[in-house]
Amino acid sequence: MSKLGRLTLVLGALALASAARAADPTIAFEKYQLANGLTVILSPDHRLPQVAVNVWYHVGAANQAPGRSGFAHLFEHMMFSGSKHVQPSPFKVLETIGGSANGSTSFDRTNYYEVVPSNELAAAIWLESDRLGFLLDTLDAKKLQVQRDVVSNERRQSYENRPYGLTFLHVCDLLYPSPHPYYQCIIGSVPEIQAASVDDVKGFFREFYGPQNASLAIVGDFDPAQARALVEQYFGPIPAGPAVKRPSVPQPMLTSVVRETLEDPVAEVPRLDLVWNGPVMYAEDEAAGDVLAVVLAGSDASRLTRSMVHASRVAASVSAGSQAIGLGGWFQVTAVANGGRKAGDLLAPVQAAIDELKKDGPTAAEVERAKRQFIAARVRGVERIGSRADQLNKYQTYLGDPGWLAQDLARYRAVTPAAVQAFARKYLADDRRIELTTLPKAKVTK
Amino acid sequence: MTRTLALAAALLSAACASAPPKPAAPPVAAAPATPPAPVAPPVLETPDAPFRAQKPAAAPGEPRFEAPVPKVAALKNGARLLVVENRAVPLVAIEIVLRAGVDQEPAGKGGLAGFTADMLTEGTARRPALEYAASVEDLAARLSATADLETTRLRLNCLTETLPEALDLLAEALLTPAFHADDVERVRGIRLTGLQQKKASPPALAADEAARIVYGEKHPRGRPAGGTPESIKAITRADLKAFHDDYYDPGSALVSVAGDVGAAEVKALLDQKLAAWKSKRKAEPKRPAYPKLAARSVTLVDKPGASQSQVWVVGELFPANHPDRIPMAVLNNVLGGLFGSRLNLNLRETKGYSYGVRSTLRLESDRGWLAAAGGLQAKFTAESVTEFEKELAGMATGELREGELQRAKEALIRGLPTTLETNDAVAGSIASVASLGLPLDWFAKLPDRIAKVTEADVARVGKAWVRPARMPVIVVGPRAEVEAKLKALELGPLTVK
Repeated sequence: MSKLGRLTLVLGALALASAARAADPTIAFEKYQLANGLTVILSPDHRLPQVAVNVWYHVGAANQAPGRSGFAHLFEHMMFSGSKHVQPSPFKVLETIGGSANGSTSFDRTNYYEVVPSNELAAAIWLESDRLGFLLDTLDAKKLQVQRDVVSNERRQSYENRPYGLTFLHVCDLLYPSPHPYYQCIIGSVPEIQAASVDDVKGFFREFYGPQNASLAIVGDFDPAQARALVEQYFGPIPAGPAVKRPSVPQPMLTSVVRETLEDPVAEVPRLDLVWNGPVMYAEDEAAGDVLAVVLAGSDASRLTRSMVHASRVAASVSAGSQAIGLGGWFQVTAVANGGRKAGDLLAPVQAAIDELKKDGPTAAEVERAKRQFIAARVRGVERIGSRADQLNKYQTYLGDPGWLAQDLARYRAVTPAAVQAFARKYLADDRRIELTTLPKAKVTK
Repeated sequence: MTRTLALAAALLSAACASAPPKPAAPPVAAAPATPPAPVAPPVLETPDAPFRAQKPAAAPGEPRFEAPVPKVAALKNGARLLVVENRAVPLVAIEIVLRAGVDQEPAGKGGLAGFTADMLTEGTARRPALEYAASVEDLAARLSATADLETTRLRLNCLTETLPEALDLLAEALLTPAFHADDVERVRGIRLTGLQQKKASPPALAADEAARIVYGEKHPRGRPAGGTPESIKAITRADLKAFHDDYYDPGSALVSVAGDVGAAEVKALLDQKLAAWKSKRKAEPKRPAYPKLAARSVTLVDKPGASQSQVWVVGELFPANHPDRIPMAVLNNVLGGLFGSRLNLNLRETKGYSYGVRSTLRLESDRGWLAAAGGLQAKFTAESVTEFEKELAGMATGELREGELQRAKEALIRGLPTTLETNDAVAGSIASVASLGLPLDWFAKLPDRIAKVTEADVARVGKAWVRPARMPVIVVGPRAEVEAKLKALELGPLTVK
C-alpha cells in the first residue's frame, strides 16, 4: 500500500461491532452543489493511486410508465452505448486507460461508476458529463435494437435460465401487479422491453436525466481543488432539467393468503417462499426488519437453520430478507427442500418459528449477534473506494445527507428484542401473505 | 427515531429532493395513484465546446502503485508464513492453503476434499456445530473453508482486537474438527441436494464437460466438480478423518496474512495457537497423465426447453509459471478478457446473441487451459459457435487491430491496484502466487513485465497456443433446437449427452 493513512471510519465502526461503546464513525467528505443543481461529494483517500467516480440518478423502475417494465434498466444500457464525443462506448475509453466501469438499475435509482488511475480523473469526468450532456446526439434505432436484444438476453441468462429466477419475478408480479412500476422486478418482460422506442428513450432522458436529479461522488486519490475545477468545467454548462416528481404510487396491500405454485423448467428441487408486504426504505422499523431476517434465517446460527437445516433436516438451506424500497417493500422467507423432501414439509416449521418470535420475541443474545453481523458487514462494505462512493451517494440520494453512516449504524445499534417482535407482529400476518411454491417442471419426455 | 421517519416521509412525498436550495422538504400532497400524462418538458441543450471533443490528457506523473510483497517466515511446525502488513484498517485477513484438493481424492470418492472442508466449521472437539457458528458470529468474524483442484483454503477475516480469539476458532476448525456422525449425515444431505441443484445450472454442466475433456475422466480433476451422488454416498466418516489426517499437513501448508498486524506478532500468535499441528508428510496419491487435446470434438448436453445455450470452447495451455503466460494474458484481453474484447463486442454488442461472452486463462501448477464461454440465445447457438471459431482463428493469426495491444496491456497494469484493494484480496492473491510456485514479488514485477509485451509477442503466442482445430466445443442447450445446425458446421465428431 503506497500511502499509509488510517481510515477512522472503519476503526470506529468495527470497534462498535465487537465492543459496545466508541465514538461514532465518520467518512470525511465535502459536499456542494453546482448552479444547475448537481450535487457533488468529494472524499479524498490516498491509499491507492486510484479514484472512483460514481453518479447516482434518482430514477429507477419506480419511474417507469405502464406497459414499459424493464425500461429504466434498458435505458441504463443506452448510457453505455456512446455519446456525442465518447465513441463507440465508454468501455473502450476506460479499458484503454485501465479503468473499470459498470452501472446498475434498482427499484428507485440508477448508478454509473468507474474506478480509474488517479491521473485519469479528468477522463472519467469527461465521459460521465458527456452522456449526461450529449447522449441523444448519437442515439438511434439500431443502437436501441442491439440493447433491447442484450437486455432480453440478460433476462434469459439471469432469470429464465437460472433456477428460481422466475420465482423472483413472480413474487414481484404478485406484490406489484401491472401497471405498478415494480411489475416484473426491474428486468421487465421481453415483449415490453422489445416495445421500447427511440422516443421513449428520449422522453425518459429528458424527464429524469438532468443534473438536478443527480449526485456525483468522487472518492480516492485526487486533489479536491482540481476535482472542483474539472466538475465545474465539464458538468457546469449542462442545463438543469425540469423538477422531477417523485413517484407516489400507493403500495398494493395483500388482503388474503395468495397461494400459488410455479413450475420452473430449470429448477431441480422444490422451494417455498413466504412473502409479506414490508416497509419503505429508511422507515423507522427498517432496521428491526433486517435484524428479524438474520435471527429468523439469515445466519449459520439462526432459528430456521437450527430447526430446519440442523434438527429436522427438511431444508437444505433457508434464508430471509427484508427489502425496504421506495414504494413499499417486502419481507421474504425462503426454504429449499432437502433430499427428496416435499415443498409441503417446509411451511409448518417456518410458521412455528414465526409464531414463537411473535409470541416471545428473540433473545437479547440473538439480537446482539445479528446487529454485530449487520454493522460489520455494512462497514466492511465500504473498505473499497468504489463501494464507499456508492454508499455516500446512496445516503445523499435518499436522505440528502452523505454523512448518514453514523446514524445508519446507530439505528441498528438501537434495535431491541421488543422492536424485532413488534416488526414480526406488525408485518408477518398469517392471513395476508404470499405462499409461493416452486416445483421442478415435469421433464419433457421424448 | 423520529428523524428517520421524517426522512422516509420526505422521500415518499417530496416533490424534488435535490432542487436547490434544499431545506428539509415539507411534505406536499401525494400525487394521485394514476398520474396524469406528463407534459413534454422543454428541450434544453448543453452547449458544445472544443474541450469536449476528445478525452482529456492524463495528469502529469505516473501514479505509483507499490504492490504488496510479503515478508517470509516459517512457523515452528514448518508451514510457510507470508505477511503483508497494512495498517489502514483494523482488520486482519488470513488464508491458510493446504495441499489437499481434488488431486488428493481417491477414486470413487469424488467430492471428498470439499466435504472434508465443509466439516471444519460444522462442530469441533470443543463446540457443537451451532455453538461454533454462534462463536464466530459473536466476534463479527468471517471464517470459511473450501476446496479447489489443488488445495483446501481456510479463510478468516476479523477485527485486529479479536485476532487471538478468532485464531482460537480457526485452530479448532483446522486441527480438531469433530466429524460427528450426525453432522456428517446432515452435510452429506446438503451436498446431495446441491448436486441435484447443479443439474439445473448450465454453466456448471458445461464446466464439468470441459474438465472431463481437459483433464481426462480418469484424473480426479476430470470428474464432476463436487463429486456424484454415488461418490458422496460412498464417503464414510473414516474417509473424512483420514483425508484430514493425511493431507492437512503443515509441512506443505502456506499461511498468508494481510492487514493490521506485524509479521513477528502474528508469527508468535500462530506458533502458539497452532502448536499442536505437526507434520506427517503423507505421500501423494499417483495420478494419471493428462490427455493431449489433439482434435476438435463437439459435445452437446441436452437441456430441453432452455432459452439459452452455454457455449464453451476450450484449449490446452501451460502451467502457471510458464514464460508465455504474460503475453498470453495480453492476448486473452484482446480475445475475451474485457468488456471491449472481440468476443463480447461481436456476440453481445454487434449480434445481440448474448448478455456477455468472456475468455479466461485457467493456469494451475502443472496444467493450464483457455476457456471461451458464454450464454447465447438458443436459436442462434450454431451461429454463435461459428463466431467463436472465427474469433479464435483471428487470434491464431496473431494480427492485432489498432489500439488493441495498448488496451489489453493497460487494463492489466492499471487494473492491478483494484484487484489488491482489500486485505482479503491481498491475502488470497499472495497465497495463490506462492501456491503456484511463482516468485513472491510477482505483483511488484508484473506491471513492467506486461509493459514489455510487444505485438510480436502476442502474435507468437497466438500461433503457438490458439489452435481452433484442436479446441473442443461444448454446448449445453436444447438439443431439438440446436443439434442439426451444429452438425452442419462439421467441426468434428458430435456426442450427445
